[in-house]
Amino acid sequence: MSRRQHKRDNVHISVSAKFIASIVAILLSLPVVLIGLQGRGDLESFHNRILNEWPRFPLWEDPKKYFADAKLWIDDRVYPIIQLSVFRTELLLNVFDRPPQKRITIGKNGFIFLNGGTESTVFSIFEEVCINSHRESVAADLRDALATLQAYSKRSGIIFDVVMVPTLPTVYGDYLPESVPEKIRGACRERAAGRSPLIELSRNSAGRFCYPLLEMNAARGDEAFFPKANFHAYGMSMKVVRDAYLSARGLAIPTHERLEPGRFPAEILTMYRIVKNIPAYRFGNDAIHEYKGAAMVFAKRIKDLFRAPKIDTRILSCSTAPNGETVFMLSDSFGTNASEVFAGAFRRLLQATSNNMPDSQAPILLDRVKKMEHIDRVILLVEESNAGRIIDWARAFGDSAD
Amino acid sequence: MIFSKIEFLFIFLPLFLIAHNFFPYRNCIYVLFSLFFYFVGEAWYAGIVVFSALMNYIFSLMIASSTKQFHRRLILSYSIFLNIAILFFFKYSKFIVNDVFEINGVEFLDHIYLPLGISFFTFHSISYLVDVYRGDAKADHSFVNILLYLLMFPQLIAGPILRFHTVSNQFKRRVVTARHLYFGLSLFCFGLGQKVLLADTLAEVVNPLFVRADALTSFEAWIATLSYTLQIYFDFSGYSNMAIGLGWITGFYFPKNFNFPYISKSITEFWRRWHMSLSRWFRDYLYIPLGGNRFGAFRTYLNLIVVFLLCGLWHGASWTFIAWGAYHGFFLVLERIGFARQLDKIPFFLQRCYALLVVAVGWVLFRSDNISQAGNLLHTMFFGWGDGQAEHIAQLITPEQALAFCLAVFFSSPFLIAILDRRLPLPIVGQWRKDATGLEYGLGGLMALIVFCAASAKIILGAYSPFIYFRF
Repeated sequence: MSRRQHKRDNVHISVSAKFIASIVAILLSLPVVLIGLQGRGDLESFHNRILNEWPRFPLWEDPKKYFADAKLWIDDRVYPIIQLSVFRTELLLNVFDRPPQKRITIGKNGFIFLNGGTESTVFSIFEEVCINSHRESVAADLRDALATLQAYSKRSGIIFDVVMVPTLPTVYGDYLPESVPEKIRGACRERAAGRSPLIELSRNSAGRFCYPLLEMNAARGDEAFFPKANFHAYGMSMKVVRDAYLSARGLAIPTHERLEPGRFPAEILTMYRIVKNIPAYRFGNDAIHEYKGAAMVFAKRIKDLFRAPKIDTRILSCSTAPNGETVFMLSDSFGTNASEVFAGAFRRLLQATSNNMPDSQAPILLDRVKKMEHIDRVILLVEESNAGRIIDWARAFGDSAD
Repeated sequence: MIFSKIEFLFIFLPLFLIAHNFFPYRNCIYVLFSLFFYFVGEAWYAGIVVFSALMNYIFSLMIASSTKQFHRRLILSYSIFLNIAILFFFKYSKFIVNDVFEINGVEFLDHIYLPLGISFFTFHSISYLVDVYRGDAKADHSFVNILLYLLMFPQLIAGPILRFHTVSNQFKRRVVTARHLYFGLSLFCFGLGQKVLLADTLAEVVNPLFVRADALTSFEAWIATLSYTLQIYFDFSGYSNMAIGLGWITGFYFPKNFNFPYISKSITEFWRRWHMSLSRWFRDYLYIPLGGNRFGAFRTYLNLIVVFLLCGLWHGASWTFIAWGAYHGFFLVLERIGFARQLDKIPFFLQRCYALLVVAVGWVLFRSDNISQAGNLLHTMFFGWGDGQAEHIAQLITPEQALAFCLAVFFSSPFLIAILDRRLPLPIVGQWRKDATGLEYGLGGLMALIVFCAASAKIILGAYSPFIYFRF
């Protein structure tokens, strides 16, 4: 081959082939070119996390990591990931009666359960809420934790109570499908039948530890009691939890509250941007007032204790509260719904969701809250898979100076 | 980078299509894109490939320019030795030291990284050198062409294995028309569908079962084995089809790599239909030089065993691959000894059952982490009835996966192709229909587009697994 041949084209490409190739190239590039059409906020809400960033180091420093990071950036944003996800979910749910991801379990009688935190931890939530949290060893650790909290309570002059909220798989464990391994299903059925060492602990703690599984089981016949596709207790189920706690503690239960039946978006499906209304009760109390501005100030004051910039806090007061105390509720994500319901029972309630806070920071957080307001009572509220968090918090309070 | 990833489909491929179609120096562009393709996944290890190409380029010129047969043979031997040494160092040194000699704690070995596609470019290099030595091909004086032969991204990491003399003319002159685009793109789409929609869906069944391979029931073991049998076929043939399709859209004709291997009536026939480019390579560059079947029955059997042991070893540095190679070699010898004649006497259906069973059992060796796991799994499959509690079928396989399984069974036979080929211009290697009407092209294109959209949707939603032939 001559030098001239080598340098110039030795490939003949017809005009029609070039035209087709151009069209194909343009169409293929659309998922990346159209990334700009999607808002960052929208994508973050879809992924339910902060988006991956473009690599901030030179390519030659670590090319493999550079391309891996760039790939994550693209994967988060490729168009139309949101629309495709919604379409696929609707197709799977409505046509094939199948969950959109493995971490979702479609139960009997219209129940939809979240079984794992991620796709690589399928059934981990079921294992935690139905098996691990109900071990005798966990009950023993909780008993020790309550003793530690009691000691701290005496030192600080603040009452400490623990509320553990039963979840959908334990209250309705008998509605899990056969695709769930029998070991897990059997354990969940046990809970639904009201068998757990935590019940005994709850009974013998004079209300300082409340695990209202039996009360929830008694009320579960109402179709809207615990919304069938919710991970978090809401409305009537949360009110049952609160009333069980108040009566165990000998505190007055508020009257003049409403439970309005209706149909509300299924929480687990909204993760996939599917709006499907299901029966639920909305809790109502006209005497409750929420201070959103003050809650933002509160969040700013405790920001440095958290690993992520987004902190969920609430401050509420109730003019007709039967108990005149100011309460601080330290919770997991169940606290967001719980705070509204618990607020009806107390003069004032401050709540912080601790999911992004190391457990060891709990005493410092309480100190900050005490500098803002006088606190009479602390309620540590978690769902049952977070029993470990109660134990860690108690340890942290026990180790703290005050 | 592999073809079924977002960065390839929606960034690399469109840029390549524009560059290759509208800029001059197309071979140079092809090489640059191929180097980038390799660099994205392997970073500075791309240097090893370039070094290997340069080394083989120089050796080929030396072989071509040498007039004495002895010198030519010496240079060829030396160059093959170097290629094998590079492959050996990166792929087998750890296995030899740790597993064969059972010497542990050699820290240096932990730092050896296996560059992607090293087995493929080593075989390409040997093919080139031997072709030049034999006079089947002329030594190419253009280093760009040699780089292109060794690095061409469609076949870089998973073949098909090209023999130099079959593509050397296409480096110098090739033609691309609208028909090349139609057939190439539609084959790429169908290959993508095979890989993403069938193989990756079946991987979701296979992987969890092999993770707990030591504790499966017989039913689960069979589900795992049969699903993997289908998965590996659609994974590999899908990737090969994508490579062939990409070749067509740039004017290259790559050889067919799979021809419905699971309809084979014997293991001999299976190897004429499975990874055909590899089988041909071993035949031309190992089996025949060893003497083939020219020195009597015993030597033929020995040659077959040697070839298949090396074929197994080529697939991976592990006892399981060696056992898999030996296992296939054993059945090939068995069929040569006379079993094939006995097979001919039974109905076709039973012949196919025999071949499929032998192949499926072989895949257990291939997929298992070690010989012990393979042994346990095979024991469970054949003797484990009644052991353990069979998990509920819904736990093993979802309706979506069951659909993929059924479609995979259906598409692993030529039945549908035979029906459709009369009506649509399908991208079948070596059989492009010339009499198709515009409507037929439109329907064929629409079918490919639907498959592409479904596969892309699955890729975008992130539900796919790594390519099985990734490190071979």
